[in-house]
Amino acid sequence: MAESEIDWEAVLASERFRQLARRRRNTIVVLGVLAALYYFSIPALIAWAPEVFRIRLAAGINLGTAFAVSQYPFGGLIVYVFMRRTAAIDRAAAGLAERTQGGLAVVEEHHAY
Amino acid sequence: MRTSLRAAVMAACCGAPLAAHAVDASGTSAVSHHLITYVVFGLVIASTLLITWFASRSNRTAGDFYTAGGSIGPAKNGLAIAGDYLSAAAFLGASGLIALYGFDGMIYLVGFFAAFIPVLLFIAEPCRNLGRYTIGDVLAARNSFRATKAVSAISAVVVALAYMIPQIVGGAVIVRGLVGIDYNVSVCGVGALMLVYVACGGMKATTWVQVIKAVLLIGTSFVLVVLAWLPFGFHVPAFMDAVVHSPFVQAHVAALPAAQGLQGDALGWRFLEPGLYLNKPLELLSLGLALVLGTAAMPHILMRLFTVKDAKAARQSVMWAMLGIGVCHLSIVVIGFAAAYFVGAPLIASLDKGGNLAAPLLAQALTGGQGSVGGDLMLAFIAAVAFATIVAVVAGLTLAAASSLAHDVYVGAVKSGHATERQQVRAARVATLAVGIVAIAVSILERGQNVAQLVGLGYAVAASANLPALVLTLYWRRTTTQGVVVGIVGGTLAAIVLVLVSPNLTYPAQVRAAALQQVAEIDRQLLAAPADAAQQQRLLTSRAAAQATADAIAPDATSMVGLKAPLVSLRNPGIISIPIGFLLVVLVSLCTRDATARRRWAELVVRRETGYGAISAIEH
Repeated sequence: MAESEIDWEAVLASERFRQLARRRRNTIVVLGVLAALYYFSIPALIAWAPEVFRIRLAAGINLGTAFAVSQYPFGGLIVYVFMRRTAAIDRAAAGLAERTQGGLAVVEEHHAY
Repeated sequence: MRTSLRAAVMAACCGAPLAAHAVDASGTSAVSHHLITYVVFGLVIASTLLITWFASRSNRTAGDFYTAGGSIGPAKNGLAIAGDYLSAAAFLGASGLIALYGFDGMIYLVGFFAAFIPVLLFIAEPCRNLGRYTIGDVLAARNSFRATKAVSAISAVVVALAYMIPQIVGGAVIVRGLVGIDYNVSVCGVGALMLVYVACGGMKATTWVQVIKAVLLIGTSFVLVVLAWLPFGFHVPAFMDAVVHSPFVQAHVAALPAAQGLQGDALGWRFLEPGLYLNKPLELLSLGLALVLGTAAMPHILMRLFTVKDAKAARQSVMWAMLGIGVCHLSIVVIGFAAAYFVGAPLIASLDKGGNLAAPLLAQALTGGQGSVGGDLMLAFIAAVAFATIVAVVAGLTLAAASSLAHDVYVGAVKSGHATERQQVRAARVATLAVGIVAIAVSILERGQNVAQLVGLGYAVAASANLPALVLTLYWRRTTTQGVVVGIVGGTLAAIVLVLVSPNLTYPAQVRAAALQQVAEIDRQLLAAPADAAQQQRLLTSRAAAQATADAIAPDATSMVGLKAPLVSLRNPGIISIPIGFLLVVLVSLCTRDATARRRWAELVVRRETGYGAISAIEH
């Protein structure tokens, strides 16, 4: 591992890096929890409140069918929010890279890993 | 009835692509115009081989072979991920489950889509930033190089083989059912094609095969949706209302044990409610956990994240993959309901109890029906697409298993990371051949067996062994090499052992008891003196068959591992084995010290977040 050229500890300790890492962590944790709640509410509702999925909404459509299909647009929404947030974090990270470029020359690894 | 239901439940709970019982047992084909079938199959296969030939000319380095030199664009890679992921389980299996069990089929399918959210959020970017070809690379970014490489390769190969064999068996069963080619010849055909794609074309050819397959599958599903909705003027509520009021659907639901006492439209509505098929919420939760957490650690999915130039492209790949998978899944939902309405459950279940032929039969019904040229052409086309689906998925898995063997075991653990480009490419090709031969041999030996539970085992091992090691290496400072090694080995063993003592295996004592119970039941009916001689004869025949089944089994016969009855009632071990995997990594890490892992933590976090020093394979 050719790690010696960069002071990883210093980058890790820098306030700017910590701020970026926190933003990314908050994004994935919030979105992850929302996605898990939305998906696992299917078995939860079937187990504890089966009558909810039987509610009829329109001709041939009940709440269960609508909720199952809604997992797809909801997944799409999670992806959209994640892509927007991470694109913003990437822009901020690019700024960080420029500022600390002296110590952060990209290290290539030549052995077969 | 109980045995067939059990087989069907087993197939579905395990994400069966096609249970080995698929298609009518006689092996006769559903097509009357065989020439059409041969031509369509030939065209699809020839086009993929042509692409392999083009791709093989530009494969030079190990990087080209494993990851196409990191040169694949995000949209193309996303479609290839969709191609890798949309297995026969999704297209044939899930559409069949929806056609037979309505709502329960849908929630089964949804899990395969929701599974991509963890890939996107937690895995895609860090893996691209830290790895090169395999999950072993990511783990070795922090842990002891040789130990993690060796154990991660074992679990990757177990997962790939467990997932691959049911695909090959399923592919052969489709070919036998629709074209009439012998099972062994079909298995060798699937195996040979897959070996040609992977060994000659490497990642470039495999990617193209997957892209073509994904486009064909999504396109075909879309055409079926248009044809199914056309009579309803594309008015979705009218279509669903027709499903609820369909006499086919109502008669089918009335025959299911979960719908006893219902009548008329209530039966149609019952089709859209939970519990016709997956009637244990705990089983559903366990299956959901294995799917959602297993996908994020499937070696063939992870491997695709290394074929793009950077983390941003990896993220975009997953987005494109989810778009493709989502569109295909929504089409499959419509295909399932349309098959229930246009074809009807009795015909679907008569050709295959698991419902795996619902989509091809719908295609035939919507384009002229059985015996017509249009119907047979469409049926042959769907079958060819399903076949291409299976070969593409198998090719992706072979490449992932071969890269683990060649790159992690040979180059990593044996040669300590020092091997020439030539040695690496040769090792990759030899490993491909070895994996292919093992897969083909096991598939031939498994003839007539229900291998569907292996898919569930693959997901369970990925979720219980690879995922805890991967997630904790990436996100927990105190993780040690010892923790990762024990977690991977322990998680793999926990999943395998739990499957071996689960109801997935056959318990001869239970089969015998069921047969004896059937004999007693028939005796009771015979005593009640049936009026009609023909019926009496039928009962006597059934009684003789049941008695013969019972007589053939010794009273103290046990399952493969020596049990009379399952020790756990869960078919899918995820809910037990996943916590075991996480606990092992955490406990062993807390009890051990690993100075290297601790020292590399800062580097790992910075590289994980920023991609500094990420290996860009593009310069190859």
